[in-house]
Amino acid sequence: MKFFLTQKLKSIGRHGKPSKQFVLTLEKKLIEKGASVTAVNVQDQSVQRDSFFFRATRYSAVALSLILCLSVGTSAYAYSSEDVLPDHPLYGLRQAVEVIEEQVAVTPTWKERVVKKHLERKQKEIQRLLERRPELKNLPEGPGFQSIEMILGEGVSGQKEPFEVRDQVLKEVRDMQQKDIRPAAKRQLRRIERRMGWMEGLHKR
Amino acid sequence: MAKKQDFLDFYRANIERIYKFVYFRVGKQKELAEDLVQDIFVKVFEAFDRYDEKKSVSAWIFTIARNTVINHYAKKKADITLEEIEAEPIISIDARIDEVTRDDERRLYEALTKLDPEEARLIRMKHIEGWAYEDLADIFEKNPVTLRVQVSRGMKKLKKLL
Repeated sequence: MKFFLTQKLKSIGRHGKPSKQFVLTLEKKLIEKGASVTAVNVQDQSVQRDSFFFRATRYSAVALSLILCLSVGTSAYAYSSEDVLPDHPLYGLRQAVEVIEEQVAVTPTWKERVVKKHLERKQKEIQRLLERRPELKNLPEGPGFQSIEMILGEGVSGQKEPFEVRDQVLKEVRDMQQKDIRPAAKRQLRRIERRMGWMEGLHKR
Repeated sequence: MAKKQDFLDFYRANIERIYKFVYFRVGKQKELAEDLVQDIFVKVFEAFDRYDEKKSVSAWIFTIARNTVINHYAKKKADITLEEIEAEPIISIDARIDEVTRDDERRLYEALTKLDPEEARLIRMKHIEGWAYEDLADIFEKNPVTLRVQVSRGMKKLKKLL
């Protein structure tokens, strides 16, 4: 409280600061009267140090705000854009935001709703991934990514519980990795496993 | 230091606190404050060569500023003191400024007037005008530690009044 009172008094004091124009005009008048500028004395040096400190603080604050805006903007883009798929550099950020979203959901109903939303997103991600890379549709052994998409669809339509769907997808992903598939497909599966396993772990905690 | 060449350094180091000192004692009237501050620095400039280095700079300029403010009010009312000027709430005479004086600020000013005059003056000079304890010690010829205690005590009272 005392701190706030001091700050309040200081803020009143700031309103009573002379305008720069007045300070410079009066300085000019005094120079005309005969005063001249010399080496800065000790008192003035402290004023300069203060102004340097305030300048540095102001620049740091501006830089930090820019970095913060940029980070928030990038995260928002990564989270909302449909182009951020598992092979996108910002996919990790998207995952991180999703994990935070799931952690923030405290009640079971809320958590379930969030998981369902994420399953929906995963289904869309896989659909888009398959549109872009049709070779992933049917793997040499087994139905490939389409089976995962199907399981996710059951979760989205409400036929199965979201957490159950997640477990099934994870099982499917792990099984598929055991098969003799192309390295690119294996990489995608590993990414999905990492993502789902991570979320699964969090849910259990 | 008593050389005109050093005057601008002295001016730059003191202009803000002297301006604030005057501004809050003339009811936040900007133009009047500017006129009086100009008078103060012209007087300081003219007396700069005669300044006794043994005396404190803060005490010296404070005396000039105080006398200038008293002389301004003395034109309206003879024998007025700085205590009487400070006893007036620092609410602006200018109606436009008064209008925007927020409620909490107004309450703060009113609470300040209810404090012991010396404590109120110290709080104003320390926290509103930005004088250092060392400067206040020179002005009031007291120990900085004593002043610090006085300000702290005043702040506690002010907190209770709000």
